[in-house]
Amino acid sequence: MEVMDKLRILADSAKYDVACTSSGADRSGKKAAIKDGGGFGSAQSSGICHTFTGDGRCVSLLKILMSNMCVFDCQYCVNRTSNDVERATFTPEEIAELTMNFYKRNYIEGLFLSSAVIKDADRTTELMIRALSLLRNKYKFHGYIHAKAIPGADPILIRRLGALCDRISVNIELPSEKSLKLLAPDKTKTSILAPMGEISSGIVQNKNELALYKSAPRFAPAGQSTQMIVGATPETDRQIMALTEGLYKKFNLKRVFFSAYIPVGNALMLPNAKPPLLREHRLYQADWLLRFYGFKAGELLDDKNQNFDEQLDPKCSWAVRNPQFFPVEINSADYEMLLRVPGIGVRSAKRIVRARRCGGIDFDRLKKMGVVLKRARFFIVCNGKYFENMKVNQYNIEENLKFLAAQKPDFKKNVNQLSMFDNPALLPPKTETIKSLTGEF
Amino acid sequence: MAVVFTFDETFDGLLSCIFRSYSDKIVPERVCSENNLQGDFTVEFVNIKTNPAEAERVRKGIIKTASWRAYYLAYTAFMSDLEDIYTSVFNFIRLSFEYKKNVLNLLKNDSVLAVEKGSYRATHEADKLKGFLRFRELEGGIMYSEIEPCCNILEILAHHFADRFPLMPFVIKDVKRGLSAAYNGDIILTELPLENIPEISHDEEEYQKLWRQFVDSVNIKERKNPKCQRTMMPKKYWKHMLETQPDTKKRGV
Repeated sequence: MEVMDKLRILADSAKYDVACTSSGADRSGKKAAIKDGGGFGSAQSSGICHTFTGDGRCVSLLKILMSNMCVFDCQYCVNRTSNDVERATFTPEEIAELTMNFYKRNYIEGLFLSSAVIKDADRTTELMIRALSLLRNKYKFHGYIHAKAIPGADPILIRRLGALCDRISVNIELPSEKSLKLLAPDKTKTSILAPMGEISSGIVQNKNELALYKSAPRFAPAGQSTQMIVGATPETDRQIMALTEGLYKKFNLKRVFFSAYIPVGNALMLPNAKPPLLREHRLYQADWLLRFYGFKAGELLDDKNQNFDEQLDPKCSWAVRNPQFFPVEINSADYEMLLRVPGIGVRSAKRIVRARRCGGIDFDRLKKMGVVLKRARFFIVCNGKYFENMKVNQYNIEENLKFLAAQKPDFKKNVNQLSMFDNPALLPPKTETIKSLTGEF
Repeated sequence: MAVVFTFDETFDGLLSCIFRSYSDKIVPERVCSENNLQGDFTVEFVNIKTNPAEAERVRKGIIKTASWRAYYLAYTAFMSDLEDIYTSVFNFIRLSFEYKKNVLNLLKNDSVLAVEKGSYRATHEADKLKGFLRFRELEGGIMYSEIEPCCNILEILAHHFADRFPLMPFVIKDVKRGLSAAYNGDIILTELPLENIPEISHDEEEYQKLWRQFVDSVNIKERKNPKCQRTMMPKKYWKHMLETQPDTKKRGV
């Protein structure tokens, strides 16, 4: 089989893996080449996107499967053994050649290597290790490598794999053990969590080694990540967020990725609907709130609210439910509180804190500094006054925010399952009220 | 009469303007290119000759009194295509001598805001092009690339790729500005036109095909979202990328 055909098949099979980030590792190419006696490649901590596909997702790494000849039969997966698709397997040599040649033309930031389970987990992991050590040792490739650990593989093999790559991940696949049993009969909770724990302790151990010896070999310097499929099984957003938070805490993960379920082949047990892209988007927004905004999963959703609002983003929903924290005084609130204002992000919050050192802030200055007031104006005051002296009370905030959200052209397309006019409670408020509130529109 | 400084559009030239401004006690109303004089009888143009020694003194001064970060902001903002950016950078540097480290917090000043914005524009575009730039391999092994960025960021890109490929000779040409960066152990920036560019290498076309196949394969049709694609990868960059060319004839070399 030609390399071209293998690439077509094995890139196509790998595309449902969402993670394509090349972030988290920082490595100078010059220094690495001196240390290694040649070769090329570097890594930038912010990551670099090399192109974007028609679905708007970034392509950073050469994302391929080693092989799609799988012995497992997971219902949600396109490569399940019972699905009728073309099968192919790369040789380690082909993978190395392809990576080097794509990399030097600046098509990619590195390699993302995953694989279906050929024969068994150990055999598959060994093949992956061979490909990666060829790249690292023979070709002296210093670019980014992300490898997927195969659940059930021997801990020693997983350690060896982790020593060759920047990031290593184990897919948690589905948000609960029950769903896993139902849809992925060959995988168990323990077979997934065991390698995760192995990797996490490997990373901690490596940190200690590095503290002692600067030149100790690195183990997965860009950390560990995972991904789960959303919308194939009945878990609520609340369950998913609790799991996500637990994973961050327990295994020190760098990222948890969500992937809206796309019906592949004809799996009878699964919904045959459009991928829940809006839900996936809301989960990512909430994930950001956990990682960068100091929120806890328990604050975002509770008994009464099991799923995220389709009309309002998670931060807005939280703010509307917690009026006791607002309005926030821009001139005196601390950084953590500024971050909790809908519409104010990390960049804006930091700028506000900096600018305060050189005098007071009013709304004109906020605007000039590039702080977006569209949503924030309902939650902030400058020197005790609301934006343009509008009258704000907690009853009209929610209506206005929903009205704003509905103005976005994408909104109607995405929320087609929710008709604006079936439910009178969701109708936008009268335009007059809004005019008097904001002086805009 | 209001004074306008003119200079040769190099960063050292701008630093020389700062030096003259302090030594001759003149605060110009504007600073602009000596090739593009716009004004009327109410302004007096003063041409400032670039002096590397003076520029070096100013450079050290900024880093010592304000901070390295302030120097970096000025340097990268200077590359941007914002309107009247030379004047903004000039004012920013003068302010940084006055306010020292605090100049970065002076977000009520229009020049400081403009410099922040300009720096963001230039470094942001450089970050994009670090990914979107495509090399093609020529006979003899030299890698060649053409770009057309809004900001003058060739230098940032040359340093990025020199670090990434320390042993690989390459040329990046900014076709918009007629500037080229050549690397073979050291980076050389030149305005000389490139002649006799060799043919592409034997393998080149094959890898271009493989790359386009890969990009086609990883696209998920059920998630089609061209608007998001264009937001993340603006159309202005598509011209020099392989995978975005509409048909095979135009694609590649």
